[in-house]
Amino acid sequence: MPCDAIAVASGQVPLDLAHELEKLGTEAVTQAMLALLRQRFARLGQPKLTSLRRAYSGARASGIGVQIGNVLVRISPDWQVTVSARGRVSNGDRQAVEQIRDAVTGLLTSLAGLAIQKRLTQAIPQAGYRITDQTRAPNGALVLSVEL
Amino acid sequence: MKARVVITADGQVSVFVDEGTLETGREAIERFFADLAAQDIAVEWDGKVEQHRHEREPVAAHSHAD
Repeated sequence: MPCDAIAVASGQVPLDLAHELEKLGTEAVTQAMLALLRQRFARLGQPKLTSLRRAYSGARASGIGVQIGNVLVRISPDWQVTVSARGRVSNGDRQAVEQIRDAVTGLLTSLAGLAIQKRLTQAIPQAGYRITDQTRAPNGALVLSVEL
Repeated sequence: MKARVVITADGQVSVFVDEGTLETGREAIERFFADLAAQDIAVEWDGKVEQHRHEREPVAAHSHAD
């Protein structure tokens, strides 16, 4: 960012992951997770939605469940990510569990960030300001030209 | 008054005012954050407004890592 502005200020919109993901909705998050798993973990097979069951009672549980290969990914209703391997667990499975956990957690954080960017992009015109240009920086930041 | 608003993926919001004076820029930034708050977007801000200068100017330059 060129450092030649006349006045500069920085602030922070608190990143409330659960709040932002709630607004995005379960379906959007599920589709994004399926796409991520297809792209990055194709070697494990096709990811499939699966219904979640409580460990002891076997009763149906809420949240998002996706099975890919021997790995089960669960996202609870409060957006906690749990990844585990089923049955006999190989070293490859353990590695896949770690990688998938990191990837899905990163995805949720990115989705929340995109949601904040979207909310701000909508709020700025609603507050009476004109956005004249919009670009995305290589680091993912949204750069808006605004008439203040 | 032309400005750039940079929103990072972790929710940081930076405003760079490219026209006017430091004082008019400060007023515009204060108004902008207040107007966002009215739209239910609370930007936590310490109230500081800085002036950034060209490197060729004979004062200590403020530079960004990005």
